[in-house]
Amino acid sequence: MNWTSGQPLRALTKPAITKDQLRLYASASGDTNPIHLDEAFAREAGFPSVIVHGMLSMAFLADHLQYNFPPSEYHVVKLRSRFRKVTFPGDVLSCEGRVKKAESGSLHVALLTRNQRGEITTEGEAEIKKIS
Amino acid sequence: MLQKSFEEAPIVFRADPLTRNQIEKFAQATCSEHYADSPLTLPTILRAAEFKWLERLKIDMRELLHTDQEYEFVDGLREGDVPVVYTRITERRERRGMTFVVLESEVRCDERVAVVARSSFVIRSSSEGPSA
Repeated sequence: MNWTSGQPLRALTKPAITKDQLRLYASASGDTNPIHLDEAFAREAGFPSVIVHGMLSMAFLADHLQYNFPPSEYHVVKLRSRFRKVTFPGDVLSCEGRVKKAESGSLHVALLTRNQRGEITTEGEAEIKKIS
Repeated sequence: MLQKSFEEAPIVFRADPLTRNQIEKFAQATCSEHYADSPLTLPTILRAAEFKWLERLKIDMRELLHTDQEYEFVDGLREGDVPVVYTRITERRERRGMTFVVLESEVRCDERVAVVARSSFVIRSSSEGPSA
């Protein structure tokens, strides 16, 4: 596929995030910060409930990137995320993106996650290269 | 409150060899389906040295927000790799009663650089509510 500047990526919606998923993610990643696992701790920190690991949203963006740019054809050089809005269990994140710049086998891509209320929760950018 | 003094030397984390089980567990937790050797954000499981920095700096986890994350994929991670992670503080500044910290980690496998990670955090003043 020949990507061009401005071209949108195929969107990808992930299943609703559950507290079980946060426990699984904490176990798999080693990020056991109680703000993601302990309701009382999260409330003390000023949140209405536990919050989703920002890095879980970034993992969604990474999967979305490779859904559009398969690793057999593209090498991801750089991936960056900015966590804009807190995500809570029950939220459904959809990943969107577009090609910002395409030139000689190198692509710069803008990415984002949006929750079910239409709010942007994570913004990202990636630099990828076509494998020759 | 962040302590005034901190060491410039990196904290080093020597991980066990990456296993297929670790990779698959991480992929399941993050709903990752489109990766090759491992999900792009797998280096998340190697953040032990970051957490040691946060502990050393005596940061209250209720005040900590992870705001940005960046990865540079030099050679990626795969099953059987034995990662050694060198994590340094590359930035620390105060602004509007909040502290901004950047930790940079170099993940090496058999002396080759596999991934470079930069994690940015904001430590909120305990008198302020959540910023997101």
